[in-house]
Amino acid sequence: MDRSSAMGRFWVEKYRPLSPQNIVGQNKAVEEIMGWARSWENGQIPKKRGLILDGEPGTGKTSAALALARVMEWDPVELNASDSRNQEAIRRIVTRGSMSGSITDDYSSGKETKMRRKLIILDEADNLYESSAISDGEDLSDRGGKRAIIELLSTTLHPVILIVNDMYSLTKGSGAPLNGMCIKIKFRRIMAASMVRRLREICVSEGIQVEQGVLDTIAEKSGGDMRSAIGDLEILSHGRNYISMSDLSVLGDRDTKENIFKLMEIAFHSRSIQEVREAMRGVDEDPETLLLWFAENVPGHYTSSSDLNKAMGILARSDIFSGRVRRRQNYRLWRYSSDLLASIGTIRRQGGGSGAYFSFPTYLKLMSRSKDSRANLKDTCQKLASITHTSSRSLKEDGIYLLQAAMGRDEELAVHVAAEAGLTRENLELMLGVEASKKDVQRILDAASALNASRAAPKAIGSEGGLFSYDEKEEGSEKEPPSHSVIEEDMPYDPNGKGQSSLFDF
Amino acid sequence: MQEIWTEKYRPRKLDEVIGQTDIVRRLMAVVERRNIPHFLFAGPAGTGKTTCALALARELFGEEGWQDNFQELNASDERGIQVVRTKIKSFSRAAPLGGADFKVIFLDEADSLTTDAQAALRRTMERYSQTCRFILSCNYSSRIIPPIQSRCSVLRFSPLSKEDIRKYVNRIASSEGIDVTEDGFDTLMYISGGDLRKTVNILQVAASFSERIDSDTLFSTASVARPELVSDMMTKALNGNFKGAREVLMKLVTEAGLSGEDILSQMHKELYNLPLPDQTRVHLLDAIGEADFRLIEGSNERIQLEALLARIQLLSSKDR
Repeated sequence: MDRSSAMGRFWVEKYRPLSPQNIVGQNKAVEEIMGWARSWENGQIPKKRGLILDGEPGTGKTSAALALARVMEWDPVELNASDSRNQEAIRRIVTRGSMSGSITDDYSSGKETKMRRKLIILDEADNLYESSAISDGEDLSDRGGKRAIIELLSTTLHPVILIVNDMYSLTKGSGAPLNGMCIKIKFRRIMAASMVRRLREICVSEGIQVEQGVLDTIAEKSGGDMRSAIGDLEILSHGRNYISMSDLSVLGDRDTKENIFKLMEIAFHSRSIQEVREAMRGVDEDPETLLLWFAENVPGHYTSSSDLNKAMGILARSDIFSGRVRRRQNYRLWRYSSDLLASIGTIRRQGGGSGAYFSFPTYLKLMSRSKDSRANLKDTCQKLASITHTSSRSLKEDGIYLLQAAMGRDEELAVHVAAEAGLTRENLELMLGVEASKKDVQRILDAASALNASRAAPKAIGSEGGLFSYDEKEEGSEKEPPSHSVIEEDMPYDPNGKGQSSLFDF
Repeated sequence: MQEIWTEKYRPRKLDEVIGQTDIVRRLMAVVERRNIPHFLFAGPAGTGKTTCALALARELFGEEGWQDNFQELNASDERGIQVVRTKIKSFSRAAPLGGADFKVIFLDEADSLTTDAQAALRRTMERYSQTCRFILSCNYSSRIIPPIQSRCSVLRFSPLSKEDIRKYVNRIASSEGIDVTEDGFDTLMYISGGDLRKTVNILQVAASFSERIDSDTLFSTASVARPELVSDMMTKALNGNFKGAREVLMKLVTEAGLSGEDILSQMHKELYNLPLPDQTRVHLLDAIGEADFRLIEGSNERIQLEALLARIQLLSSKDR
């Protein structure tokens, strides 16, 4: 069940600041938060029981809340927008968590001076209202989640932190009372210089060397988003301990393409198709490319079986429209393809998985990296197909594995096949596998060419040919064409042609 | 000199062909008359279609130079209309060599030609029939368009009997100095499913392990020689490990160079090798079939395959 620990923690989690003072580049905000926190000390209940942390993704809001809970020794209770969260769920917290709960317990256990408070954290609180309103489908102002939040804030005996990307969507309309009930704190985009310091600390801790300028570039590219910067650093350091400037080219997409990462963030967290569509318009990519991005990131963000199936189902559906566009060259159909992608956030997640960062599609990179080996495989299979009277298709499927096993164990056979099929060094290396040394390969190649030379009969090897040797034969003149008269194109078909009719009745 | 056994022991003459006595008799009759119609060889893999075509050509054109007038093409590698318009056409319009009356094109796996390509083929068959005869082979004659079928003599190759295969295996065994035990032979039949080519291929690999070939040798041979990636991918998906399954999928596409269609047909085969309750099997079958259908309509095969894996991991959580 515990998948995340098996995979190792993402650095974003691993290096989350332990105290609010360690939050990068938000000194003013941290000061204000600490001031509010102190107003809860000694069992007091301040007038403003709520805090709204407002800011762009990756600026430290959630980290600040978690770190605060840690230093104040409050138990954090997180309610995340990605969980199915509605009025009901908030009410449950109101009644169970904030009014009764452990406060009375602590009193009764005699520790009257030291209360163990909870810190209620409503992450992505700006999304919460909208979704519950939609699910209710009626009387938005009275029955939505905002009402529940207001209720919570007026009755809670515990500190509450609301985290939003967009203050206005929380405090507009029926959310207006929240203005007076909360202290609002703005988290700014983090300055690159501050980020670089933190990135460097991480490198030291992970034992990674970086070329001059690498961290600056990562920081610049992130646009003030610490989470994506750390995510990038982690991706770049996969499987190596030195990062050079040229390694950064894989990140290249981000600055030219008006931030696809930002689109991902919106697409996977917003419940509004309209909002995602707008974000898509700002990204200059066709649906097929976007599809690769979505496919790359769906598994990290939809971890329960049914969520994952739904999300991949949407992608598959979108791909079908792309296929129709491609086949009919009718680009009008792209809009369905991209709208389907935009709808991915409407899946009500049952499992977790919203916290992972986003990564760029590995597929294209892998495909281009393995291009040579695939070409070699194809070439080898074609050659072998022609000497075994099969298709390279069926060889690829399983025949080649049998031949590999046999050739790896039987050098005589390897020599024979190499000679007969005209295998190149690369072909042969593929067939013999990694166990064969360069010497082995060379020995077999030499023996094969010796064999061919000794057979130097007038008939060339493989002259029975397959499809593939035919082209050369036609153009070159390895064989004398004694009477290559060509029948004219327009020669009429003779249904009673020689042999045909008389032979049908045998 | 060690060769590939399927070629080494491939019958050179029609009367050496295993089984298929009716077909062989007819083919020998046309050789007698030195003239053949277009043929359509239909039947399962490894039952002698290619062997008969090769032997027929040898007997028609003689051991010396038969290859000058015989062209073998495999349609499953290039199945678009282009191959018909270029390679097939240029071979069939060129006059036969060495005084032969006609030449022969053997078009293997013709049922993988698209319908368009088959229609184009039909015209070529008509136009150049004086100089060129076609032997088409296919697994299912129903996948060959009727106009072509009507221009061909259709010969149906039946699955080889166990006795026939045993005889052939014995011949190889005594020539190679190996010993195939009785249970070994049964296992061989089980693994190869009566496909003689596969039988011989596996036998050769097994012989490189041991001179005495019993059931155990063959099972370990099959596991060495079988691509494990597809079953590995399916098992991971069935265990709910989507990311693991997806990594294997990437390997199949990037390293093993398989197309989406290839992967699906391997998954379909693997369905019956994996230890699964039949109910799960039916669900899987349906999911694979749906994905295969969508592959045709979609644009990025990998997306469809990933969606299939997502569906499989969901199936598994429901079935358990």
